[in-house]
Amino acid sequence: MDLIHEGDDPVRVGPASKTARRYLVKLEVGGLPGVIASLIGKDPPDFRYWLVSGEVPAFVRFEGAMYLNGPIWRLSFAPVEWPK
Amino acid sequence: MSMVTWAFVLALAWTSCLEAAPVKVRLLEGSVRGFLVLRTTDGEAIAHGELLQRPQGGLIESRLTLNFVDGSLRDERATFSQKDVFRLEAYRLVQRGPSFPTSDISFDRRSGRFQARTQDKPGDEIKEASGQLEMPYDLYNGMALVLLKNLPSSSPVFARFAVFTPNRASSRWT
Repeated sequence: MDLIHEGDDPVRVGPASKTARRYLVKLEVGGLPGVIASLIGKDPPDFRYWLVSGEVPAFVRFEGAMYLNGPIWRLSFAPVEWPK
Repeated sequence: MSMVTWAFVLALAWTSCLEAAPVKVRLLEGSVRGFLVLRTTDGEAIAHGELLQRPQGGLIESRLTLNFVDGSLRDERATFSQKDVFRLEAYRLVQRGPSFPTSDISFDRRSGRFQARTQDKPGDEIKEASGQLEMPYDLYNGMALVLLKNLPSSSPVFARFAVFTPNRASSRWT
C-alpha cells in the first residue's frame, strides 16, 4: 500500500479553524496487477484518512471500504451525550 | 494447500521485489481510548464502537471494535512493537453479520503461521485455510493510522498489507 499526502482540507473544531491533512492509502496488488487482480476477482479499495496536523497529529476521519468491493463508509469520533 | 492459501502466497511473492524499509518511530504510541461512529456517505449511523490501545508486555495492542445496528461485528486487533521502527507482531480480523462477508483471519510473527476463514460474499460457502507465513518487516495490517502519524514530512511511504480471499481462479498454478 502507498500512503500519500493527497492534500489539505480546512475544518473547524468549535470556533477554531484547523487544517486536516488528507491522506490517500492506495492498495495495489504488485507484480502483474492485471493477472493477480483477475485471479482474486477483486479491485483493492483505496481509502482516505484525515488528521489534523501539528506536533501530535490527531485523527478526525476515515473514509473507504472495509472489505473488498464493499460500500464506502466514514469513521469518526462519536460525540458523548448526557441523557436529557 | 487450499486455494485461499495460494492466493495469499502469490500476492506476497510478487511484492517481494518492492520490499520497503520499515517505518521509523517518530511518535511513540501509548494508552488510547476513543469512541467511534461509522456512517454511510449519506450520514446514516450504522455502527458505534471503540478504539482501545494499550501497552502489553513491551508491545502495543490496538483494538478497533465496531458494533453495527444490524448485529454485525467488526473486530480488528493489531499488536506491534515500536523499538526504533514499527513492526507488526500479530493481527486478527473478525467480520461477521449481515453487513459483511464473513472473515476470521489471524497471523503472527512468533508462530510464523496464519489461519483464515473467509467468504467471497454473504451466503457463499465459507472457506478455510491455514499454513506457514513469513511476515515481511514492512507488513502493516491494521496500522495505517499509526504509520500516517509517523510519515517523514510529506513523503509517501510504501508498506505491505496482506489480503486473504477465497480464490476463484483456475488451478493453473506453477
